[in-house]
Amino acid sequence: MQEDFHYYATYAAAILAGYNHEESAVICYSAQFVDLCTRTFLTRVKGPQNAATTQLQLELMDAPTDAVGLQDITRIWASFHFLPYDLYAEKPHTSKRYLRKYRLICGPNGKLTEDTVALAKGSSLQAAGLAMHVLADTWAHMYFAGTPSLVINNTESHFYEIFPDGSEKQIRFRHTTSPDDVENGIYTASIFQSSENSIMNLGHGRAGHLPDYSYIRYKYLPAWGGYREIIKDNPGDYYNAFRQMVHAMMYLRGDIPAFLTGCYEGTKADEYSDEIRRIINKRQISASDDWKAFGESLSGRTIPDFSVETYIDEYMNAPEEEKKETFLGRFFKAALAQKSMVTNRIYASGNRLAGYSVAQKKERVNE
Amino acid sequence: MFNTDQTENEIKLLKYRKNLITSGRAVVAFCVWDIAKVVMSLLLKSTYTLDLANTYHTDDKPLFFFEVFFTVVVFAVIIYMQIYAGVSAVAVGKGKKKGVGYLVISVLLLIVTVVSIVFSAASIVVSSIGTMQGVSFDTAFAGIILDLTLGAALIDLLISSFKVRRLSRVGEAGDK
Repeated sequence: MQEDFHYYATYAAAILAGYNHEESAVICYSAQFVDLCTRTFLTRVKGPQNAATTQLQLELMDAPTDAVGLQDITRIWASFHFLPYDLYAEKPHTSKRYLRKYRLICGPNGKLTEDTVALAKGSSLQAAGLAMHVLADTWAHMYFAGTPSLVINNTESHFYEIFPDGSEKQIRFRHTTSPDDVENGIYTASIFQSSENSIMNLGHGRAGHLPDYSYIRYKYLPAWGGYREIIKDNPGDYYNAFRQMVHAMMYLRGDIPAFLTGCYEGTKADEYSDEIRRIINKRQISASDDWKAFGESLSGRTIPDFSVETYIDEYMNAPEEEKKETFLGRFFKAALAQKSMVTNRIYASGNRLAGYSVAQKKERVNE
Repeated sequence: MFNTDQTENEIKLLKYRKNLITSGRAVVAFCVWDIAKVVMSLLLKSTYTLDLANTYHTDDKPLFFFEVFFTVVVFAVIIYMQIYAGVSAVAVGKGKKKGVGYLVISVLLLIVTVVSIVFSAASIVVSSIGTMQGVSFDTAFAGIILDLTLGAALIDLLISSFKVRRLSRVGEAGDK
């Protein structure tokens, strides 16, 4: 997903969940910041390198793709952007090596989504925002994995946009830096790389930005699907993502006793379903203006524009012992907790693609 | 989620169409190998070829050139057949064409490939006895490997073609 949903839509969802303007601003800033907290940024603010929640394209180009390098990449992308749906999924007639990657395929309403929301319970607003980013991405990025893998993440020419009247048009991706032409259906995707662990095969790169556009419905053949077509209904998925965020934040506030996956109704979002669907279905690359207007109509306050510079001075000027109480300090703590939790779960399932789990190792040392 | 309108027959048909496109492209790509093989043979065995030409008596020089011309024509025909079979297979795989001409040509190409493999293998055996000049074990062995790959592509093309035709008929019967 993009800034329109991670920042503005998350703000609107937080307001509907019962948070006030200031709290909602912290939550939505944290949700969007997950897409910007890179090692380059952390080097600049002298923050903990392990708290990186994403990687720049330049960082990825420099990243090694040996076993250790792949583990580092997978730890970040699987923890924050492609949360695995089922770490114990089975698929017959496959090797162990393939199965390890297959089990990292992202999807909503998995056990890890429950754990992500539970981890944020009783924690900071920054943790809540981070959890909302992860939760929302499980809807947009489903069917792709947060590890470089040709056999999981590749797509091919069988890729069709489905229009509201039921007609279909084949999507032909180009491999340039030009922006997507939504009106003419011309989109950009990463170039085919036959190497299994190429960075081009990370996440949804082979499908371009299509998973991040709320308006589009499309069908394609995923590499892992055995020639079965996937129909991706982004409008429906984004609507569920929004409602689930409201539900999750109501749980985090303590307004409801439990966060149940697959549960979307019964929140204030239902009252605004027409407006939410209108925004989601509008054919545009960025719905920021619409979500912003919606959020401001709910709170009656102005949503500040997002800037990565906002909290840097506070963090850098704080004494060492007080850094963890700053905005960024709380975010880094939440990021480390999320990364540790997801890596632990992946390691515990017998999968080494995210590397060794420090917590698990410490338990073994203490035995 | 998965398209529930897609039947098992349609899934298999999609798979074999994709196979057909891949093998068709492979057959076309192997033209590059065929041309490279001939060029390498002429370059590596250039002395042998010139000596062969010089062994013809003056009166037989036209015969020699006619044989060269005939060889070139046959080679060009084989290349054309390969390109035709491959391009047709790709067109059938994409659903743009129907027909069996390319299948007949693919069978002929398979026979030619098998003959080529047999002769390459024989040349290795004979050269090991030391009775044939101008034959390199490395070249012949590499040729066998590549011809085997081309043969596999042709076999896959034929099998995929038959599967596509059968599954298409089943699909049409089901629609009726």
